[in-house]
Amino acid sequence: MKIRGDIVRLYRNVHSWAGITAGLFLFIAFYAGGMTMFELPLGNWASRTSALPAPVPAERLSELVQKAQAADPTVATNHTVVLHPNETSPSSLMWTVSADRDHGPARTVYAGLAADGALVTQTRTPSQVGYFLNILHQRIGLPLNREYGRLIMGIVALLYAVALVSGTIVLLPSLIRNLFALRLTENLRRVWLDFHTLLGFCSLPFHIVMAATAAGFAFHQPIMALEKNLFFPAAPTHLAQKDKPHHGQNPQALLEPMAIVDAFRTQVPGLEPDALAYSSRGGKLSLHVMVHDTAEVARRPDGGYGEVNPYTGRLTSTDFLPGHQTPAFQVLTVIYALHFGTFGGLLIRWGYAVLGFGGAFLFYSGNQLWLSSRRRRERSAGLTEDSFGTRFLSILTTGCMIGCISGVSAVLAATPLLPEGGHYQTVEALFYAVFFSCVMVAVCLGGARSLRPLLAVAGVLTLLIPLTDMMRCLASGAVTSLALSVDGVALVYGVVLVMLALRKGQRQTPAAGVAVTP
Amino acid sequence: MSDVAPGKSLDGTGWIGKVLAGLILGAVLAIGLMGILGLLFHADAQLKTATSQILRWFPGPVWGLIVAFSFLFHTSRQAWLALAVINGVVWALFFLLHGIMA
Repeated sequence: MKIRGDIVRLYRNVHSWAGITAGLFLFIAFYAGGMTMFELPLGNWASRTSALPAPVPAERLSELVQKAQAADPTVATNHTVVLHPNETSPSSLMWTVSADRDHGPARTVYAGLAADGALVTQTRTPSQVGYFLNILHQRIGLPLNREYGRLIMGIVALLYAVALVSGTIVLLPSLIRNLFALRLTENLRRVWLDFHTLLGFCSLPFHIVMAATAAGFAFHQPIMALEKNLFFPAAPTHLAQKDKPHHGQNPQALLEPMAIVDAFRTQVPGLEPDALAYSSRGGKLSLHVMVHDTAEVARRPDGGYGEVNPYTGRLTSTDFLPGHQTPAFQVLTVIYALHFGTFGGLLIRWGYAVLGFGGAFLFYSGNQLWLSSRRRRERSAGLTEDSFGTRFLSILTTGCMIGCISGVSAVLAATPLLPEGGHYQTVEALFYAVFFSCVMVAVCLGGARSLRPLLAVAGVLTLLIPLTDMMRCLASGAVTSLALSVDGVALVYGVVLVMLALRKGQRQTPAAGVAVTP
Repeated sequence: MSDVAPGKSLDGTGWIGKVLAGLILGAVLAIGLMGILGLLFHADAQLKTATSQILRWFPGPVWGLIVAFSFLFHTSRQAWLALAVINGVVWALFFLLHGIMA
């Protein structure tokens, strides 16, 4: 592919500046984003559900719901009947009792029936660790609220798009020549360059998808407001009734849970209902029948849903029901699924996690590349020490990136020890304490010299995950396969980090020596 | 971008103006294009149809592309002019369609 030399030169500059500006944020976004591929299993792992009410058999579900409504009338318009209880939702009936949606899973009441048929409840907040990692990813590592977070996220999404386009333009002319030429020479800059090129090219489709969907997510809110002004209103709806909720006064009787399930199964054969979620929408009781099928393309990791009339059991909307969508809604679902990796089951989720962590490393290598070529230029200009800019970016690269790894590991290591599997504020405070400590270490020692100790810190914190988790398992006496796999992955990862810290020590010394001599 | 040596054809001079043109007029342009597509495919203002929900994803990437390619304008002036003209055409088309379909 032929592109004019001046354009390639121009975009090489654009690429490095856009990359440097967005790289640190994108590292955190991709590292935490890779983690969110396992948000549900991590939630299961973190949850403390042993003392919650046991599930009731299917034929007593109706009795349970009626007793719960008798005890608390608001339950009627806000509850979920769990048809297949598991580790995260072990009880047959649950409802939320707090409206705080910004900190993840809300405070939840879990209900069951005692041996004598009396209603038993337990109130608990599910672990918010997985949600914290998700928000860390969405807010690109900044502790901002939704409003400002979106703004910064939008700016970074634009920079990401610019870096991606410019990187591709730089790459295209020399594609065949340079792609697989991984020159493992003495020249550190060449190694980083070849590595960055190879990694960038191999994950290009993934990055195009991520840049496009991230830009979509970032500007959702303002675009929705604009759409309302640009387009014509649809057929008029019953706006007058919106402010008059009248739960319980409906003359019709609600169908029993199992009747809904039976009606759903006859209307949609092949899809197994997971849960019945009742909520109030515009004063009307609405029912979502949640289905979960990992093989299908789903909008969210927890699957899709069909809207069902709670009085008749008739399916009213299949807009978000996997396998029963119109082509247009299917397209919409694919957009979400491409970002969340919710298609093709576990293999794709692991693939997305690898690509996510690979993406994080791509930004790390980009920063290292920038640093080594700047150092080279400064040495040839006669400077014996790094200029302020070089030192500054070197500190930020090591401090923020290794700080992010350490912070996430610290959060996961603390999870087994924290009450209720970690509240949002607690894990947020812990993450930023570790993160900023790492940045401070980098400030004190300098970017290159702090790399080895910080990698060791990250490794030790990661190795603490299996330690604390096994302590919890031994204390409670239950070792699940999920806990074993989380611990196993953390163990291997921690050992790798520690080994890197030790190996880097041997390699860094001559490299640093070279860097200091002009 | 100040350290780029001034070349004869295309370089980084005046990049702030070009990028600002891409940022400001690019956003207006992306929204205008979304408006036209929305009218043509009968998107609704309540965002209930799939079309209006799919279209929500459209302006972001388009905006990003316009910003990324705004470096290709020869001068900042040309960037503002060209994008303003395209915007004029797109928004004229939008209001024409809006008038016809109302």
